[in-house]
Amino acid sequence: MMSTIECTIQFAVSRFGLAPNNGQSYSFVKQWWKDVKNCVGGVGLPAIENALNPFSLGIGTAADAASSMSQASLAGAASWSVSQGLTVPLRSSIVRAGVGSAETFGKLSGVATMANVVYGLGAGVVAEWNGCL
Amino acid sequence: MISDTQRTTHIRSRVRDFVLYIAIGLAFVGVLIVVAQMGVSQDVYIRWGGLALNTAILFGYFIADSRQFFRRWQFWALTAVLLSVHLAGFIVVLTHVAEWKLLWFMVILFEFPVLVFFRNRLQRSS
Repeated sequence: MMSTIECTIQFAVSRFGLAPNNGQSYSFVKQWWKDVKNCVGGVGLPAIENALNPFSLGIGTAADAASSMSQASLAGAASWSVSQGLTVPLRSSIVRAGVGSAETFGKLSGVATMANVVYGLGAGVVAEWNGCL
Repeated sequence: MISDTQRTTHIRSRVRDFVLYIAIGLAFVGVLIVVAQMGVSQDVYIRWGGLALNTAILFGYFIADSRQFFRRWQFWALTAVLLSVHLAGFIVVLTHVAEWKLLWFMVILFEFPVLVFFRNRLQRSS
């Protein structure tokens, strides 16, 4: 019984004439696919998982914490304006600093999260290069 | 209603952005291949590369957020001190822990309000 991949490869071989008479190209494609599967599945993905899957602090947890801090900064600015009886809160430099900090902190948390995820994917590339090539 | 000129400008800027994204992606993969060829281990890549990346992001945002302080030497002295403390702390931690995960660097985010706090004290003292 042939697998889907083998069927696909055989179709590509017959449709596009990739195989010479002795079927060497077919073997090459089959071997190439096997190598890719072993390399990505056996080396790359575990490296990415190892980099991005900490057991105590996940991407969601970190983003939630960053979001909470961002909100806390805004809440602090708001409570300060109330305690000072400011009718136009944004006139206060302290409130402006709090709000400005919250905005930058929000951006920083988003960029840092994405950068770390991309860097973690890079760990997979390095592992594959060292382990497969 | 968008004019033809605006549409052309929009398409050009989108194309330029996509070319930039692809170029940055290829450059990143190129750097990764060079790093791999240099024989850098996975552990070194995660610990020290991760520290460099996250430090650059944190202090990059902090400095970009402090444009009004650029002309004051006290700000740069404060930034240098904070950077030294940050690096010293992480070097001590990273050289002593047996295991370090990339996403644990997200704790660096909590340094940002501290940096802003010290910077704002600088503002108040002047």
